[in-house]
Amino acid sequence: MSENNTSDNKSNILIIDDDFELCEMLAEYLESENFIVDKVHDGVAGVSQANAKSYDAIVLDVMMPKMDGFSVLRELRPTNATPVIMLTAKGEDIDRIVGLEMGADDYLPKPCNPRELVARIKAVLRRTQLAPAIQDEIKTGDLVIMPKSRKAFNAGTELPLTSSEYNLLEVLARQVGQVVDKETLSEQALGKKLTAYDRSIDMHMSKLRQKLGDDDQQLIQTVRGMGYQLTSQ
Amino acid sequence: MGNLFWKIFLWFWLTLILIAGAVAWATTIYIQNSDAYQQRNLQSRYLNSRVELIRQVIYYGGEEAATEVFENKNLKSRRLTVYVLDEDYKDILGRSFDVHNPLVRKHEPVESVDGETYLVFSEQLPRTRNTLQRMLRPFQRSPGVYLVWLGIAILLSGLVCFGLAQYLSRPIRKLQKAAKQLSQGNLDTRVSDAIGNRRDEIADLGQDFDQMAARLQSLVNNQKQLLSDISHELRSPLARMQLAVGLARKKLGSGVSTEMERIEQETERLDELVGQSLTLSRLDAGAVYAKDDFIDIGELLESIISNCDFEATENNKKVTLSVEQSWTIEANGELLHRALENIIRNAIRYTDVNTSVNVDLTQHEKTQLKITIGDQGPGVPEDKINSLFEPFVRLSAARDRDSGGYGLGLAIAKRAIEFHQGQISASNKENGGLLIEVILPLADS
Repeated sequence: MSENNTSDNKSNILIIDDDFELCEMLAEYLESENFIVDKVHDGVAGVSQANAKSYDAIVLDVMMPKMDGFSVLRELRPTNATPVIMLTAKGEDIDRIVGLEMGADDYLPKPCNPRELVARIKAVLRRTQLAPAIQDEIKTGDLVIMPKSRKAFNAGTELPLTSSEYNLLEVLARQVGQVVDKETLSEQALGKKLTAYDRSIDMHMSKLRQKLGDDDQQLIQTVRGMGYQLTSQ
Repeated sequence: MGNLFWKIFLWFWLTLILIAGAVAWATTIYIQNSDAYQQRNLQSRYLNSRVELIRQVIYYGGEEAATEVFENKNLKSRRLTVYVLDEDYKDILGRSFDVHNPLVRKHEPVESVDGETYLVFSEQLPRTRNTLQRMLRPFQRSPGVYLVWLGIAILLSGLVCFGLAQYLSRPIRKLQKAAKQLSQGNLDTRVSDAIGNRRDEIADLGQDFDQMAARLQSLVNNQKQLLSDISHELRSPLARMQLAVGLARKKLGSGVSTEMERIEQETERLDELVGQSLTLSRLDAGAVYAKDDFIDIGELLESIISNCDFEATENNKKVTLSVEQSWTIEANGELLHRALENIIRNAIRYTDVNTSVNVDLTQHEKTQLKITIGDQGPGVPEDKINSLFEPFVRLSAARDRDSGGYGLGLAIAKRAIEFHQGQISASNKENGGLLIEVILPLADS
């Protein structure tokens, strides 16, 4: 998130994609949108380039020969927290939760409209610049959440949470005492845009409450019409 | 037990019973007739010997001796009557007889010791029974035993015919079942193993069926593979094209924006089409999509309909929604959304101007929900109704040109619904229009 390698406010973007021509045009397009763009054409080069320089965001193609996008992400993540937007193959179902666990920040099916891509990059940049750096441990009341190992403890006992439930709890815990709206929860915890007909958050939340022993909804409160709130006990 | 089984079974059984019965009957009659013949033969020899005896008596002892013989009780017999006629053709005992009987002159006249001539003859045995009575005799003799034998024979022949009918009809039934499965789209159906180790025309038929199925399967797979390959190959140029259009738009500024917009629109459309083909290919290939979204079906329908509303009202069409009760099911939200959206958009496209599309959500049996989408359009020709869910199907050239449909929507809908263990079917409504019915399980199994 440091911007020390640019004099003005331009963001650095790294594109990792094996399609040369596409990279050329994408770079040109992004440059016209005031980004500074580097491009590499395979996964191995991508990892070393991403670690060599500090980028504000990485656009990573999933479908690449030799080393695919998910492998690149896996290599990158333990040490590198740069936000990553994955370009997935259109028509394919990707496991968003697994991607989230691995640290992908957004997905975009390819082919995609370049305007859409720019919008997503800007959204990711905004989000990561706002969000506090990943803490080693979040403590609130009896709850202890360890983002690195993706574990949560309540009064010393580990909670048997599913990935979705853990994600929800972590997102709430990071903003403890504040109302987190459903849109944010859906995007950050479940990796999908909120739709009017999707009850997934409510379902996962009710299971999370059960596992927390929060039947009277004191710990996680529902704020009608807005979202959910983890109370700071 | 199909029709064929019963036909073979009953006809063979009936034939067998009839033939066996007829043979048994004929044999019995033959045996009895030959018995009777022998009896008659014996009797006639006996009669002849009686006639000869009387002749001898007359020859040596005259009329009186003959009378004595007749009056001897030991020689009296009710049926074996021997007549002795004098020269005036009168019986010496005064018995009446038929003068015209040819038997009267069967034996030579005999001359007695008194010098008179006599005719000695015997009337043939009277016929005791007529033909019909004789035919029925075996049954009259001991009906009980005959009925038992008859029962056993019918039972045994029944068993044999049952076996035969099974042997003939079972492989045909299996073939028929396989053909049905094949027609329902299970292209890996084969029958040879099920038919077993036969070496006859039915086994050959089974093998030919398998060959046909294999060929069909490879053709269909090739076609699907082609669609998938083309879509995959189209992705890269399409991605570049979208970027090129984006760049061109930036460079040209607002100068040729109408044309650029048009190009962008068409690129989007192409993008959409490629996306749909890829989804279809993946669903066809049995890809597993995550089913981890909890979807409120009523809300989903409402959201789809409000999205389509603009398009509908623009064409003076309406969409009405009636939700009896809503349910939340665990599903792949994107697929389910796309399936129902495709069906509803399709209905809006084909319903007549100034009419409405009716969407209903109801419970179906205990564990399922039913969504019906009915339009008030021209419907679909009955013979095309089953191919409605095939990709790129053209119902009529005019229809598709008018609507600009590319015929993937319902194909994806069907596969997406089936992926959720649901069923989809189409029918023409009585008062016109197409009705699509979607049934989904309430709890994911």
